[in-house]
Amino acid sequence: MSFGRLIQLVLQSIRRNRRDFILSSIGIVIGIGTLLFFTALGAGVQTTVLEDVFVVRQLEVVKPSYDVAGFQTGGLFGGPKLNDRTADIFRDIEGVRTVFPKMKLTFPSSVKGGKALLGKDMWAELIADGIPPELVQEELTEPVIEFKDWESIPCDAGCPDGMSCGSDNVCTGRSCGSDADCASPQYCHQEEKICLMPIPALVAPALLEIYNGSVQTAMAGAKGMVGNLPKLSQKALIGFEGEAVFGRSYLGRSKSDKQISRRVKLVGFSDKAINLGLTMPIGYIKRLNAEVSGQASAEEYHSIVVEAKSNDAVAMIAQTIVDEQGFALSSKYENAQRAGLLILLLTLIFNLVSLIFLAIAAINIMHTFLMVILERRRELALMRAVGATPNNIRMLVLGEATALGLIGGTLGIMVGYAVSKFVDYLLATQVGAFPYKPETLFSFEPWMVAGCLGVALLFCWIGALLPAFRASRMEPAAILAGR
Amino acid sequence: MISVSKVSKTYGDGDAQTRVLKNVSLEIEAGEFVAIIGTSGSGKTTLLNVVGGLDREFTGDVSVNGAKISGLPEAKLAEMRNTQIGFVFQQFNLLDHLTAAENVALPSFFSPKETADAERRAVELLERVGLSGRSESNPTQLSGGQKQRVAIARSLFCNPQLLLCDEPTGSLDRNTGVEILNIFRKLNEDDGLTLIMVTHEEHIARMARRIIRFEDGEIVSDKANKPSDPSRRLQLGEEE
Ligand SMILES: Nc1ncnc2c1ncn2[C@@H]1O[C@H](COP(=O)(O)OP(=O)(O)O)[C@@H](O)[C@H]1O
Ligand SMILES: [Mg+2]
Repeated sequence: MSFGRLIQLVLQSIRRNRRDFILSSIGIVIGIGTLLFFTALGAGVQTTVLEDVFVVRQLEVVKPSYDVAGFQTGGLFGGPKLNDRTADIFRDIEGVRTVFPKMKLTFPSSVKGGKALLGKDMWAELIADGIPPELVQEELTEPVIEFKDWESIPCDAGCPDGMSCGSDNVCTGRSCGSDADCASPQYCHQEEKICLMPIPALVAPALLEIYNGSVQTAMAGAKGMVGNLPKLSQKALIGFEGEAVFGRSYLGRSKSDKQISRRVKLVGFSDKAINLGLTMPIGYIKRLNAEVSGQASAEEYHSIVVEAKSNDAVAMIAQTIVDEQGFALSSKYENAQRAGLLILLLTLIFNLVSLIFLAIAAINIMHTFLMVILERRRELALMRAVGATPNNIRMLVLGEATALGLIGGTLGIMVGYAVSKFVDYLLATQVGAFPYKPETLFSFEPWMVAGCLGVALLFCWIGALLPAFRASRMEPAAILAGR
Repeated sequence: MISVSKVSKTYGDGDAQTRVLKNVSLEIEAGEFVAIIGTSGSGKTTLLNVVGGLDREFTGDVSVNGAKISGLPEAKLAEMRNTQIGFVFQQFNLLDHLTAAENVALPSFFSPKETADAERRAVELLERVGLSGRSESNPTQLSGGQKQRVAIARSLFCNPQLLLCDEPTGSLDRNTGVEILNIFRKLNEDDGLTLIMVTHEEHIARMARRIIRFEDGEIVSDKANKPSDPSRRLQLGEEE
């Protein structure tokens, strides 16, 4: 029997047994619908959590820490160093898009400010790190001042307003007595008596979320000034200024006893910023480290962030960095992996539920098909009489199961997709904003559709296998004689 | 053409055992028109199914067209049924969800070689059995005689040399039965088809050219017959 003939015969049978066919397909439609729904949901949530919450594409490489008698010590035995050379090595790993180093201040610092917001200046420990400014150029649209190192602009490209070429071929501000002598937003530095641009700084959005979500609420019951901290918005904070003292804080002073003061201005919020503290253009940090703690501390980075081209490449890159290069990854990576695993697990559990639906559907198909072949035994026997082999009969029944799988599977895919759109609609219209709220909870990919069709076919075949064999083993002689 | 040699068949086992065919031997030449007549339950259908390769559970030897069918694998038997043998049944066994033409063309689905224009051939065969213009009808819209004509057209689809007819007139009134028999006679005389027809009706058997009497699984007589012209006998109102 040729393939074309088989299809014709299958279509004839389906036309004839339309009702049974529809009844059998309902289970498949429901099963495949839920399977696709949960698979796409799992993938979608995975995307949101890993890409937006954990920014899994970015690996933060740190120096390995050695566990010595319960103390974590970093690089005690002169482990591998994070410097420009290391950054170049990382840049050459396959699948890496960009590499950017981060440097922390290597001495105690503090910052004073907040009068405009809180009514009174407050002192705080300043934790700061630096990143290459190019990294955030795109996300910072219209910053109050440009996020860059204003104190090392080469004269060749022409100096900005209010600056002129100074020694070392670097632009410097003019000398001044008070802020009025300087072109805003520059200010007059009290000790150095020259106009300076405030250091542009970035803050992590998470910091604000933590402040608004917990600190402000918890402090509301406290006595005194901290008892009425206002809720803050990103907008209200941008442009906020503080006076930083590098090299001195409540906790201590720098070894060299050197102090440098600078005005700091908040210019934006970024995921690339340090979680608790301020992030500045890396040039400032390098210079400050060199001046306060010595040249050596300005050459080594504290971490190097490696951004992968795709999520799939992350694991390979992580492995290369850890196993071959001997570095460690920040705990964020492990947390992301843990979260990913959890989501995968939940997805699998829900998919298991869909598979149970499908198993029930397969049993239903088996029952229906057994009933149908019993009803059609005369027809099948006649086919045998006019030349059908038992194999032909098997193929016919399995062919009907295939059609059932394709049609039920397609309908199931459509239903699953439609329900997901409806859920997204509910999410958009009925659910209030929450951190990292995505536009869609689902992520559909071609392999899911193909997989769902495959699964539909598989379960239909499983259900039809026994009926197909029964049908092929029927004795035509007895049936045709009406016995 | 057909050689049946010492064929026996039993149903069941132990006390419930019934011997349906008892050492039956029989030779039928190409071009014969044989009627097998016997009471109900005498084993006629069983014998026909054995010859047609629909029933493989028997002892003894059966050859069709020079090929021994005992012990042939099911796929080969199916091919033989498709290409060399046509079946006509008492219950017509038409598929109600297909049109008359589709029913006639059913064997083409299982044919080892593609039938060029199955639909057209089906319509031609329907014309040949006197059903021109009914090719798109459903079996449910046809009378018993018309249904049996469709079934005959179907049995002819693959150009078989042998027709096996099991009580082809059993579900028809006498007049219609005779009409059907006339089709058989034409097929036998004009096209040289070999026909084996099982019946329990004397007047139907008498239209064949050889009558084998079957009783309790055994052949009791086997005689040549001068076919009667049933239409004349009908006019005379003669009863069997
Ligand atoms: N599948 C079967 N199981 C048991 N007995 C059967 C079966 N088929 C036929 N028989 C018995 O075999 C005998 C012959 O049946 P059959 O060949 O159909 O007779 P006929 O066609 O002459 O009426 C009957 O007694 C019938 O009851
Ligand atoms: Mg019978």
